[in-house]
Amino acid sequence: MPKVAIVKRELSKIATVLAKVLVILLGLLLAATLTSIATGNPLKLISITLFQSFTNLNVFVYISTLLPTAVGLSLAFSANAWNLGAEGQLVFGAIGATFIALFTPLGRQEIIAPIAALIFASLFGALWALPAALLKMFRGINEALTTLLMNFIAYYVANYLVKGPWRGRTVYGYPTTDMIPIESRIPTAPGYSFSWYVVVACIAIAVLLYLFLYRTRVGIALRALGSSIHFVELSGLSSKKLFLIAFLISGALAGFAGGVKILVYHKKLVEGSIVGGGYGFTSIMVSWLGGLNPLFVIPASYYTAVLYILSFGLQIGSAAVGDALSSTIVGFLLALILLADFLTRYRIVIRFR
Amino acid sequence: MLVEVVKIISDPLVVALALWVLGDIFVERSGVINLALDGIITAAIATAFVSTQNFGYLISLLITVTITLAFASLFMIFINILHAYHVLTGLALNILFYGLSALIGLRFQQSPSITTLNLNSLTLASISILTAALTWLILYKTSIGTAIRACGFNPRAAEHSGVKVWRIRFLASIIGYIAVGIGSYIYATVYRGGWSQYTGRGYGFLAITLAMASTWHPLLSYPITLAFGYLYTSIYSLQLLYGIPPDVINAIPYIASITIVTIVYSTPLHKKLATPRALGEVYFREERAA
Repeated sequence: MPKVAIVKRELSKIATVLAKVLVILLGLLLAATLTSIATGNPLKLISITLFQSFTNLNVFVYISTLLPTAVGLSLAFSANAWNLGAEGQLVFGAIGATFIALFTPLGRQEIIAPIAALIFASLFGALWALPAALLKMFRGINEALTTLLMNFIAYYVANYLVKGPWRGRTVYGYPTTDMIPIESRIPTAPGYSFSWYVVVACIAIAVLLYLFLYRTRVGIALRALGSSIHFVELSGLSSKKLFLIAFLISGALAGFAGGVKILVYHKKLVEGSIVGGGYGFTSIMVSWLGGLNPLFVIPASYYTAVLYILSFGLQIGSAAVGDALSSTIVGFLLALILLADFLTRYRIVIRFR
Repeated sequence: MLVEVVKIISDPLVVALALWVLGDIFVERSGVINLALDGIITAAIATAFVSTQNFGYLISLLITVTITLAFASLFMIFINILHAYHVLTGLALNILFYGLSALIGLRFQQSPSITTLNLNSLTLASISILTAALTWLILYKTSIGTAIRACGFNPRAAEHSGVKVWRIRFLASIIGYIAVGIGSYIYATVYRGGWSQYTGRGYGFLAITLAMASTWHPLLSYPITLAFGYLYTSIYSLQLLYGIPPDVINAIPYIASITIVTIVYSTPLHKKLATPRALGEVYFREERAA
């Protein structure tokens, strides 16, 4: 009887990155083949759609939501803070931005309005992350579950607002608020629904957080929190404080992304599940794909954005089948990433006695 | 009052929800965060619907449970053999299962509805009550149940006392997902009788919430499921009578769940209830010496 055991291993950084890239490429190839079988389209057409998705400028629409959220989450996950509430924090950020833009005099000031709205969005996002962090710190309640539940509460708060007190006076059909004033919108690139300012800001945030996480004392302690609390405590920093910092930054960045969605994309508050759109959940996978390193999260969010574009490309035939197929493929690719993660961190030893 | 209670207990939606919650309790008691539940329920409902249309009610039940177990095994392979983080696996597989559910439904459905299966209230009520009692018996009165709870509380200590953690977690998910499969079958054939894309999506998260609100105790979970079942089934009458917006009622389970768990953790109650403390811990066997 051969003995099978699973043993940990440490691959070099380059090997880990290479393995992930390989899995991604393999996954894309498999996805294209599967799609061509399922839809009956020739492989060449699918490949062209795939190639076009990589060069489509619309990826920046998704990047400006996914990147800040995922960068914040990679900070939280590095500190072993399982914040699954990015979706809710994003929705709450959107509520904060809408509040400033629609209901305060600030919303009518040029330049000041979008900045104030984004600051408020970040504050709201952090605020929505706070209860789960406090419950974990002082009561030891599993933060993954509480943050998960907070997502749904945020959805319903947004739904309540757009159907009730904030419902627009000139709105028919789907419940939404009124459009936010022009002064508070962020100018978009002509012909597209994303803003270069935001894209630049998002990349700057990623670089800044990389520097914070890898070049400052607090950042390095944060990452150490993931492996051993005792070492961090011995170095004289409070592990609870670090945990709170990581949690609040991730909440604030998700809120920022929500604010961006309102000021650039929707230009009004809509129902919770539409604002969130599942991006908060996807960002969790994005940050993991980027290996929890803010710099690698940039290509990871680009890749995920391409998948979104690709899934719209697949919907041309039949929207229902296309949506189902793209969801299957995205889930399949994410599962492949987990498999790659296993292969880089563990190896299987088989011994014959 | 009594009539109301009987109506809730035998409501097919509440019965399905109770089974999902109980199935989830099995899985989470063994220390696995069961986020893939939502996707698996969605896929199981689609399976139950199309197989009823194609093969009749009885074979459909078998197929649904088998497929559910196959999906659950995939989830467990990721967690127990590939050592993937529970949360990430759950979220990734959810997306995969949502897609699969729609593919299954769209590919094999013949018409958008089926005639619902008529079960009398006594059968429906007894299904959920028996499952609750059985869950409690297995978890608290058998050695397997003790092992399951030990894995959820402290897998390292469990391994030291001779429990094979991976095996027990696998076993717990198999038992739990049988209940989940039956629940999805009841939802599709008795309650809904129809299918459209992504039918049933969201109930998995609700079940996880209700399991958490009952601190993963099967006997507590039943009355809690009934209470939220009442709120859910009377959502429109509550709006008409008292003017409570439906979104407020929808948010209640989630708020209540966090509140209840906070209260339980703040009092000595949590020692008595022994909530699964190692929930979400990736168990790596070679590390037990550390």
